[in-house]
Amino acid sequence: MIKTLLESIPDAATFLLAAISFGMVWASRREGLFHLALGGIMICSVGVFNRADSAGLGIPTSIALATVAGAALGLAIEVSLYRVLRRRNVSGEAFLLASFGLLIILERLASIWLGTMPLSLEAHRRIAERVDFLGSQLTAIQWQTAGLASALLLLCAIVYRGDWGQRLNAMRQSGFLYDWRVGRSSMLLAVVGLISGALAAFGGALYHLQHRVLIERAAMGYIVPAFVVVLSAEGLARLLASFIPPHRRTARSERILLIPLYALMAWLLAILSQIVTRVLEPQWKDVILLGVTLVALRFGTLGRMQRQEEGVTA
Amino acid sequence: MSYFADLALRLVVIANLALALSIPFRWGGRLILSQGIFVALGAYMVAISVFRWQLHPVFAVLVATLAGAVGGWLLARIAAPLNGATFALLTFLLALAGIEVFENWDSMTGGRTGIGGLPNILVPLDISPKTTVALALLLMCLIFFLIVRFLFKSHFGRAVRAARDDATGAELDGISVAHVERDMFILFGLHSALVGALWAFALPRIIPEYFDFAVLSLPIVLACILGGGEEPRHSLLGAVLVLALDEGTQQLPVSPQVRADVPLLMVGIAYVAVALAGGHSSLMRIAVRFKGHLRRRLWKPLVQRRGVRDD
Repeated sequence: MIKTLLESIPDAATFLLAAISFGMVWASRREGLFHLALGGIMICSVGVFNRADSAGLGIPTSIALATVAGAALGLAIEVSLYRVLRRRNVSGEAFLLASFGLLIILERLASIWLGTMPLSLEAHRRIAERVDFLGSQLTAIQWQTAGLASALLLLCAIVYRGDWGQRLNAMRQSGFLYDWRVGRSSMLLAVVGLISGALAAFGGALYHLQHRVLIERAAMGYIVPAFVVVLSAEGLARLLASFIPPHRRTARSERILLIPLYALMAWLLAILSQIVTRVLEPQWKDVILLGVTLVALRFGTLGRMQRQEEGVTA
Repeated sequence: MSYFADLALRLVVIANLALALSIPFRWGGRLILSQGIFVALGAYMVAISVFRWQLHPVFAVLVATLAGAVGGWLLARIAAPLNGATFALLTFLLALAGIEVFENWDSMTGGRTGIGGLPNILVPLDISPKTTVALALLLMCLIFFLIVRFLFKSHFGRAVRAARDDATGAELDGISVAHVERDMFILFGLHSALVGALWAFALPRIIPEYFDFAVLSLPIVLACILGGGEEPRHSLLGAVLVLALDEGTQQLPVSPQVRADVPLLMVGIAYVAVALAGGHSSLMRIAVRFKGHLRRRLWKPLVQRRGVRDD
């Protein structure tokens, strides 16, 4: 039991990093924004990381380069595409189509640049060393990933409680009011794009270090768990916020609850995928993940939100 | 000859699938990204019925079509309560999950290696399997074109469009939106699976790669968007445009490794362009404006000149 809990930590850390970056962009639109292009950013940054590592720049420098590349891509997408779409006030479907298009473009460009997948990393003896802890056999890089993800989560929790979280929440509620009362929402969104891109790249580089081999479908394997974590955490946060007495409940309540719930859902999902891998064959893991995402999407927050809106309209 | 048979087969497959998608997408405003799964369902069901259950191919095609209709009904049950981008995303996840199932269910689908090609006994003619299937699909395309054209102006077609434009108003007018959407999804599933069932007879092996989301579903959605209208002829026009785009990119002077990536890259660029144009409704407006522009610039001067000559 403890072994399963411990061995699910590296997966949970990867899911968490993806969920934090995905959740930031998701929260920038009232009805949520499916930023699938984050998967493409992740693939391209991993390519940068792989090439830099192959050139002998070392792991820290390669990760830094990949993160900078991811941040630049995230910023470029926000400024050159999403800002234009927001200005034109297009539907959620148009955003989704644009995001799909970007995902395909980035994946194909990465494929043209990197040549044939899968990409493999040179052996780094130090990070591949196994560390025995309570019967679990995790590598040093897996523990380091878990530590970095926890530190980022803590940072997010602090930042979301403060001015930044409040601004993000205000902008989500009404971009127009935010522009009028606070300042330029485009600046805030550009920062969101930059940070989410950097986080996706950082998470991707750590994912590549853990798994060693990067297959062509890695983008989906990175994005789909992020969907599950964000959608289910949003649903739970909304549910838990409803238990807070009305005189104590503020607009921030849900967002403050959200960050620890990201960690909880990421860990639960990682445990589920560990169990699936042990009980069934490993290839069914993706099917189970997709199934959980479907259930979260159909019966979770969004489904309920839409039904409530339809009820109000009717 | 083989090249033209292959081209004709691809055209009729895309045209049929664009026709099938046009009802939920263009009439009903539902962006379905999992059409590949319905096509795969038809193809696998026909292969399983012939090889495992020893059914005659004609009955196998019927079983596959029925399976598609059941799939459409299930889609209506699962996804219909959602709308907009959430519905599209759910169908996208269904597409991913479906392909994973086809790839991993080795005992039933043969996994990544798939199931061996079906015997060409659908039509006992002395021509190649591709040409036979292309002819069968062409016939089917014509029949469905007439059906869809009839449905466009029928009560069903008007009800679907009314439900898209104003669901509450449609309900008040006595239209059961849930039932109309259910029928729409069943029709979509049935048609897509039938295409898959017939296409299976022309494939050397039935493998999941053919039905992948990026390879099949995305170009079909693009065909429906590029067609620029709701009527069935627009879907056919979109199919021709998508095939032209695909063929054009295949002829580019690039290395073979890059050439494999270029068609999908173009599809991605087209998607971004479509989104920048403001989604499908705006694109339709652009297409109408473009048509008007062409008429003013080319057709009217031609008619006027002819009039002058007549005088």
